Amino acid sequence: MRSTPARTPDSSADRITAPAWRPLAGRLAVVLVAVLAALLPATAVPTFAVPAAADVAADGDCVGLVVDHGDGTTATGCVPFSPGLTGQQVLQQAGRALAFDKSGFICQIDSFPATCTANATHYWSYYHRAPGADVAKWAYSQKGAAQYVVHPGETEGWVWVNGQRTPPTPKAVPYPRLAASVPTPAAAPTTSASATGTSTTGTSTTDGGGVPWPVVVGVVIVVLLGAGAFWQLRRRA
Amino acid sequence: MPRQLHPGAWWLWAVGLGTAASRTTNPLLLALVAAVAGYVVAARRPDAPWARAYSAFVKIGLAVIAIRVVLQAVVGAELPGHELLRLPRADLPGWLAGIRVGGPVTAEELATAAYDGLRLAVLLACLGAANALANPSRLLKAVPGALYELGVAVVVAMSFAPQAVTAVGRVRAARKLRGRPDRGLRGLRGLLLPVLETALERSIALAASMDSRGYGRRAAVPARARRATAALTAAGLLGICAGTYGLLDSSATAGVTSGAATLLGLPVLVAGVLLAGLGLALGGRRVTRSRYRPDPWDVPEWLVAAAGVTVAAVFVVLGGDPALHPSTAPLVPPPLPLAFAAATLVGLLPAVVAPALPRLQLAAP
Repeated sequence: MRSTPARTPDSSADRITAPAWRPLAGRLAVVLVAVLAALLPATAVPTFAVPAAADVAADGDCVGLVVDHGDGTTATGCVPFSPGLTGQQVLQQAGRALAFDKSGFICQIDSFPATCTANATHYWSYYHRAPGADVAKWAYSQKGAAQYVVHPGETEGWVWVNGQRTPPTPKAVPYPRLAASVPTPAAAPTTSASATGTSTTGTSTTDGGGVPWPVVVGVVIVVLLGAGAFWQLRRRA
Repeated sequence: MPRQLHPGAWWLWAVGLGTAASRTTNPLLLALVAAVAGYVVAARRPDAPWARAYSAFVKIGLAVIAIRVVLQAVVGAELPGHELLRLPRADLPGWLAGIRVGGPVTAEELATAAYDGLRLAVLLACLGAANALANPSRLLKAVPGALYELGVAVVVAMSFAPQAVTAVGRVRAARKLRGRPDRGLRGLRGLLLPVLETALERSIALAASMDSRGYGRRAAVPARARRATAALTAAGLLGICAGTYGLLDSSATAGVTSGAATLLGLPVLVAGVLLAGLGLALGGRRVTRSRYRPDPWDVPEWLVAAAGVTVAAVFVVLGGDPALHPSTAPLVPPPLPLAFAAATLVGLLPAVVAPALPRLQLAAP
């Protein structure tokens, strides 16, 4: 059924152990990714649409979204399900502005935090909540947002980890409230709090500007130096 | 008067340019650094066999860029943006989640990879410039007396790259004479092993000849003094390594607060230099070794070294400038920050101030 080993909501023992291993697993995963990224600069969290087998969109099902800034601000939404929808597309269709660092990690959601400086202790932590699961039962994502294929009725959780020793989980907003807040299939963003303006950090394209003069000047200087080097070699030969 | 510049000055200048290159991913500045190094090499390289090191290192650098870009396109992290082409995807099992093979290739991710690869390539070019300009055997003459016990190891390490470049020329000429392919992939196959073997053998032969002349011998130094020297030198070198790492790799300290970051850089480096200097001075006092016609360290040497240090200083001190790391998502034309461009051009100074080379040169051993 699922491509992620989602844990079943059951025994109380499981619930007791959960807070202990979840942060550890999260941190381990981050460290592992960091080590991998250091060893092989070209490995990270990428798009990889695994066809989600047996996911049939029930009528009116949407994918919940909770974006918890960790400072009391929470943006929520619900995005109509479509087969093959990834976690990243859920964010984008909910109207959240994303910024990526040069390794492809999501470092800002809705321009939060103010700078794109995610690291091993400050990062957007990514969780899933299975359909019908306990409201606070978030499972740490085993995949990147561009790689994870969502299921109908699921809730995607994002929380900013600001250096806490035990990483927080997203705010426990129940799915029915998220689903009720979706007004149209056009996925208008539903923002429940302030500080989630529409300022986008990654959309200042410069397609107009004409001639990029710095590039021209730089190339001219480099070409002149090259010609000079050639002349020096000829002169000495 | 025509003479050879002190090799230490060339290395300081090249390391300065390399430091500058390591602090930026701006392709315009990186190209400028490589061009400056190339111009100086063209103007002042000797007619020695190792003088082809610059072009050899540039070729290695181009290979680095190509490998980096291809890896990025095939298994790299995907940055959303302008899609250039779509490679066929490979399905990987669940336990390999997090690794992508194939899929869309965007202009943004290729630019990021190319900028990164270019930085490493330019670093290699700076190394090549130092190898082309500095006479390796003269550099060995300048090795401090206290390190003479390590002389053999230092000889092998320092002369390997120049010897390898020299060996490529010799093996290629030999293959050409025999009518074998000396270029392309087929040439490479027959080239690689003899070159590695020759270079290593020549380095070892040089070390052996130094050994026979008294290098690498133990002087009659008391055991305690020797241990103190070794401890001081080792601690100093460790400090130099840690300090240089902190100074050069700005990302190494990204997770640390800025105060600790600066602490890891310069102070550790200075402490390391002091310790190592003390160790060398202590060890050198016990060693009496005369030098035959030592290379002078004169005004040109100071100017050449200062040119390199100036370039590095500007890039390190003004390191926070966003123009050093132009954005690739969104993909915009890189800016040409004037202060950094002007500082890079200071690196051209050695082409003028370094003395002209003597006309006739004897081939080095």
